[in-house]
Amino acid sequence: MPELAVTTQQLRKVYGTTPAVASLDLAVPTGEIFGFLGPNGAGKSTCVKMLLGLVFPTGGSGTLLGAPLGDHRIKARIGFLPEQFRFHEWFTAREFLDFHGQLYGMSGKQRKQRIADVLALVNLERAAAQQLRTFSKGMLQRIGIAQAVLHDPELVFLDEPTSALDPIGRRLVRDIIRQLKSEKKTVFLNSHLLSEVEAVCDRVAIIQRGEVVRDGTLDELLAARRLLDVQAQGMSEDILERVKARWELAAHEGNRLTLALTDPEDVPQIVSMLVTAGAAVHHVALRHESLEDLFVRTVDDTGA
Amino acid sequence: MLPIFVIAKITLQEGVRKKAVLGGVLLAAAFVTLYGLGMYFVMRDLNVPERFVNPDVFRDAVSGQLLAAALNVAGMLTALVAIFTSAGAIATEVEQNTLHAIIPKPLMRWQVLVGKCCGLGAMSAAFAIATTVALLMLTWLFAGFFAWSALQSALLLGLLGVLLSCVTVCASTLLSTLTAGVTVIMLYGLAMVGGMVEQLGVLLDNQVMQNIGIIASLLLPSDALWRMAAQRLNVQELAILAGGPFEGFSQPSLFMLAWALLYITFAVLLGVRVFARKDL
Repeated sequence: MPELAVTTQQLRKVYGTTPAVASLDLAVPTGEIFGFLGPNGAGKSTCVKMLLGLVFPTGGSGTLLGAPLGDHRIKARIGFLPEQFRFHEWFTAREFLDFHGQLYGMSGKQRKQRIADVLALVNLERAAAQQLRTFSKGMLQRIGIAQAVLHDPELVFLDEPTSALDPIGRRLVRDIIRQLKSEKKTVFLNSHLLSEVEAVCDRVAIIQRGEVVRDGTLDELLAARRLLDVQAQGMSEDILERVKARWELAAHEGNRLTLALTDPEDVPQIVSMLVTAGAAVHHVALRHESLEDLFVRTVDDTGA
Repeated sequence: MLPIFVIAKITLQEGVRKKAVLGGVLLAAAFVTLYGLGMYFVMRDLNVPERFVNPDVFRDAVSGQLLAAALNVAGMLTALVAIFTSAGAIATEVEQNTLHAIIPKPLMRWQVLVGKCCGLGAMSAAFAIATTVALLMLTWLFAGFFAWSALQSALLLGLLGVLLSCVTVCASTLLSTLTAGVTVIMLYGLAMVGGMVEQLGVLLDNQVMQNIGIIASLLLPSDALWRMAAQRLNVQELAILAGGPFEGFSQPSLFMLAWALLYITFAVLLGVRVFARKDL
């Protein structure tokens, strides 16, 4: 098995004269859960479509499980849940999975066993004989996940897998993703729900205008900066200017401010300075940067 | 099972479950029933003129006339079923993103397109053949008129269904669902009018008009197939107005049959080529 499940080198897609993906370089290690993030229009879906052969790249190259993009032999080892999918609604859930099992080239016996397994996995056993047109959005998303993992793939692409799900459904998907990781599968997760990504991903890449602007393991990225939330009365412009002169002011609203610190040892010094300057400090809390903070900062810095 | 057969089977199943196809089948059943009733009453109440020494000749002429006219309608119904069921074969699935879950599977794009052509072609052909055979059976039952060569008519109308399905699937790779359907219907209408012009050209001995008809048949050999089917009914000499006001004066050569088969091949190959490069 290759060390990298997904790679791209200067992958590019241009529609007319408009670049949807400018030049994408990615490296997703095998066996990890990879979060693919970016604001609307950043080129995430186009990138996923290029990887899966739905859209043809204008330039660049890439590999999936060690094989070049477009190699059909690799498709049997990949699963995909599309974002804006619509399946044939006249199928029952079981017929739908059987159809996709046939497309994967699974035998009748394999299909029978795996269909039962994945229906149980997504908690849809009781709906097996129901037509998909009677399914709720959440049930459709879950049956979509079932078809993506039906053939026990090594690499699974999930495009917004929790967007239509209630909290229980989201937890179910999180558990499925964690189970895939425990089975040494690679998951490529494209999601706007940053809390979901933060909860399950090992590594993320944030893209902007079709280029990776930040990537790394979540631990690396989120440990680099600490945030200090301060709530204090009587913070004058003068005090704020003195704070900004020494530390990075990440946010300020009324009597609340958030400072970005590179050294957590600065906290006593900050509190002391505020008190000395006449501010009444009510609350101070040091925390790691959240993925949402990192995402917003990255997108702001790169000019969304 | 090979991916082509999986796609063909699912296309057939989808067609059977779609209300549009069910509607077409019900309308065809109503048409066949009306035809049977009409044939029954005509044969029961027909007064053979005394000048006919053999009354069977007159009865065959009348029943043949009705059969040929009904075959004309069967041809049009086949065309409509083939075009309407195939117009969205690719376009609708692209618009609705249904293909996003299928193309990443271990199959080639050409297999998806060929599978759809097979499924839709088989459905249109089955519709045409079933309708034509029903008409033939009713004619035999109520009028006692039957010619084995008429079974070839059923096959030729089946081929008409396959032709129009494949052409429409090809159009569906290039155009939106509505535009693909309208385009092929217009092409079908053009071929039909071209056929009429050709018949008039034969009647008036006008070579230019005949050439216009031949060109129209080359653009889409649907009318040529219909005229070949009408010819195989073996009623031309009995029913002057067999297939409508302009049918029956000239018959397409076997070249047109070969052209229809080549046309189907070209349509499928063009569809495969376009679909293979299409961003979804």
